Order: sequence, then C-alpha cells, then structure tokens
Amino acid sequence: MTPSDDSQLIERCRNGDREAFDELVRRYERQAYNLAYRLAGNYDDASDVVVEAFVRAFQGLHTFRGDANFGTWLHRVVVNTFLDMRKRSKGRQHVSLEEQLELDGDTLTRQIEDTSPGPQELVEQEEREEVLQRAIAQLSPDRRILIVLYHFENLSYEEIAQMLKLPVGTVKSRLNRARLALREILEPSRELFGR
Amino acid sequence: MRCEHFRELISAYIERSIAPPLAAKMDEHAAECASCRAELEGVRELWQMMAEAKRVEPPVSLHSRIMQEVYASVPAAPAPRWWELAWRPRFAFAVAAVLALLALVVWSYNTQSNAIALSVVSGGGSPVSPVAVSTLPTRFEPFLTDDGDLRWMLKMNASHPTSVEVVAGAQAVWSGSVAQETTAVLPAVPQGTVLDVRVVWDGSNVLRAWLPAEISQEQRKPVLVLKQRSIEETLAHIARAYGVPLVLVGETDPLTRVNLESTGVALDEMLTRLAEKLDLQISRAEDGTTVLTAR
Repeated sequence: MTPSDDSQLIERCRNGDREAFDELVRRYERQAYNLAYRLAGNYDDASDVVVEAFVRAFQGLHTFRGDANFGTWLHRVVVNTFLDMRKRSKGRQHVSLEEQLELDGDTLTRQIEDTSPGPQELVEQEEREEVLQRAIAQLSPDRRILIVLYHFENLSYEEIAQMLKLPVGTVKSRLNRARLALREILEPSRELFGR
Repeated sequence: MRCEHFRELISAYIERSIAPPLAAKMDEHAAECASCRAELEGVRELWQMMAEAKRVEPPVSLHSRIMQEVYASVPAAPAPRWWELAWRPRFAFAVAAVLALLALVVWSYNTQSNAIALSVVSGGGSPVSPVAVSTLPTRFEPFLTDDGDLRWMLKMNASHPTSVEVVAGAQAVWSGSVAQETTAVLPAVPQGTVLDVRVVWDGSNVLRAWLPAEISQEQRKPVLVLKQRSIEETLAHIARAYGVPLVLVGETDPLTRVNLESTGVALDEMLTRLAEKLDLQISRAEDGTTVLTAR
C-alpha cells in the first residue's frame, strides 16, 4: 500500500466517512495486532491494545499530517497505547484485601493466561516461539519496545530513533543491552534451542 | 580486551558494522574467553530466532470489535470510559467505595471456598440496568457430519415472519426469513475456531453465542484468570475453556468489567456464581446448550 493510496482514504476518514476508516483498519489491523502481541505478551491484551489504538487513531486523525506515513504513525499510537494501558492496570487503586487474591507478579499471571485452552499438542517450533515470547514479556517495557520494533517490526535504528525521539547511538547501545538481557533470560531454556 | 567492552560490541560485531582491527581484537578475546564466546553465540542465535518468528493472525472477531468501539466513540462529546471516570476526583471516591464493598464480599466468600474469586465493577457509578428483553426464541443444536465437521443447526421461532441475519465475526453466514420453527444450518467450522454468532433482528442484536469448535465429552475444570473483561469476553473465555456452547440473550452493560480467578471448578458451579454476580438467568435448552438471559 503506497502512502498516496492511504492519503485519499485518510481524507475521506477526516470527513467522517466510516467505510473509509473500515478499509483503513483492514489494511493495518494485522500489523498493529502483531506489534501489540509482541509488546503485550498475550493474545487477549493484544486485542485490547489494538482496539484502543484504533479508537485513538480515529479520534486523532486531524493531527496526522497527510504526507507522513500512516503505518509509522500508527506504530507510535500502538506503542503509546500499550504503555498507557500497562500503566493503568498497574496503578489502579485496589483495596488491599483484593490484592491478596491476585497472583503475585505479572509474569505468573501471564503464564497462566498464555496457556491456550486447546487440545492440540504444540510442535517444537511453536514451543520455541512461546518460550521466546514469554522471555520478551519479561523484559522491561522500554527494552521490550526496542526489541519488538527492531526485530519484529523491522524498523531501522534511525526509524526507531525518530519514533522514540532518541539519538541513534543511544538506540544502538540500549538495543545491544536489551539483546544481552534477553539472552540471559533464555539461557535456562537452551536445550530447546539446540541447533 | 575486557569482557565488558566485548559485550558492548556484540551487536555491532554481528551486524558487521565494526572496524576490522576492532573485530580482530574481538576474535582474539573470544578465542580465550569461553563466557564471552557463549554470549556472542547466544545473541547470534537469538537474533536468528527472532528473524524467523512467524507473524500471528488476529482473531476473526477483532475487526468488528474495532469498528464497534470506533463507532461508539463517534459522538462529539464521547461518553468517558469507566477508567477515565474512575480517575476524576468526583467519581474516585464512589468507585473506591464500590471496589471496597466488592472486595470485602469476594474476600469473605473466598475464605469459604478457594475455588473462585470473582469481582465485578460497574462503570460510571450507575448500576447495571435491567434490560427489556424482546427475543427471538432460538435453540442451537450441534452435530458432527460424517466427515467430522462440526455444524450448528439453529432453530428459530417467530410469531410473524421476521427478517434475520446470522453473522459470524464480520461475515454473514446465514440470512433469511424466520417464521414458525425455521431451521438454519450454519457452515462448517475449522478446528480451533470459536464462532461468534449474532442474530440481527430488526437492526438490533438480540442474541450472541459462543460455540467452541469441538464439543467436549469429559468434565473440564480449567484454571482461569481474567482481568477487566467485559461480560461478553468473559463468557467467550468460559465457553472456550470448558468446551461448551454458551448463549447470551439480551443486552448487557458494556461498561461492566469482570475480574475472575478460578483454580478449577466444574462448569455448573462456575455458571451459577457468574449468573449471580452478573444478574443473568440461567436456563438450559433441549439440546443442552446453556442459555444466559440478561435481566
């Protein structure tokens, strides 16, 4: 999809054309979902993030410059939505009694939620991917975002630097550290990855 | 070369963006230092693995969900979401009070039985309003064809000829006129799919059903952990986890959020608790489908 195809669609959206937005969503929902999934670590949260991100995108269309790349802009919206939703769910004021009922730590909860209730046995490849995804989910949000943008969304160092408003050198060194951290998390699972 | 320095350069080394003299120094160090060598190999493998990772497919219902939310957000002064309300000073106290009350209820309940912790938060300070239900009586009958395909027979009954469309996700799978005892056979479901079937009648949704792609024979007691789900999502999860069809009739409060933790209980118990908390009436259709009606 070239930017020029999108810009016509976006113009129509700005004029309140619902069908145009429907089409725009169809073009980008898969990409947005993949990004959200890698950031959130599970399918359900990914859906929530994507839905909220598109609502924001729709409401914020008037701030989007027609000549810019919609995909890149949407990337940023998804990342910000993920961070906001994460902040909300962590910062919510629960009465202390209720906290006792919640499982300790995001990781454990996420592990249970990640268990797909399906009778199919996981093939080795899928197991590896699950372990990888869970490891990514254990990174801090900042590191996770870097890893996902570079390795899954295939953005360049420069594109990431632009999106996050950081110097390119900083992005490179932080990404390096994120890779080392990820490797350390995966270390115990080495038998699964023997090549 | 110090190990610390080596590690800082690992990415550049792998990407070959490093000057040859420096790369040579790294080779030297790697030859002597086993742990740095392992680190380098580890990162290299990891890089490769991520490059090969497959794209995931969004769920079938995602698109309609997105559009629904977008359309709902369209009015000039959009209704604030419940979490936005919770953070406005006026409402914070009210919400905290509701949470406190529910937490107390859940906690005292929990001391009796560790099996389920269920809390429901309704949005905006307004109670879940009773719904006037005008429904199209329906019945789902699952059956397996000779090829092992799962099909659903939907039997509907209307007092006068009514135009009905059955929609799964964004796709209409059946449409027609329903009169006395009309039967629709819905298309085959690929293994692992969950059908979200909506009967659209007079332009409004009156029925939603979650039909797992296989009917489980054995009694499942899955562990469930759900946070901040809408009523529909909660029921969809339960239908999938237990492998049973669930049908929801009527409109539920879209702002209500459910927290659910269950360490594994039988389906009947789960549904009874849920119906209590969500103010739903449980009944069973002849084919065994569980029907939940919003009051």
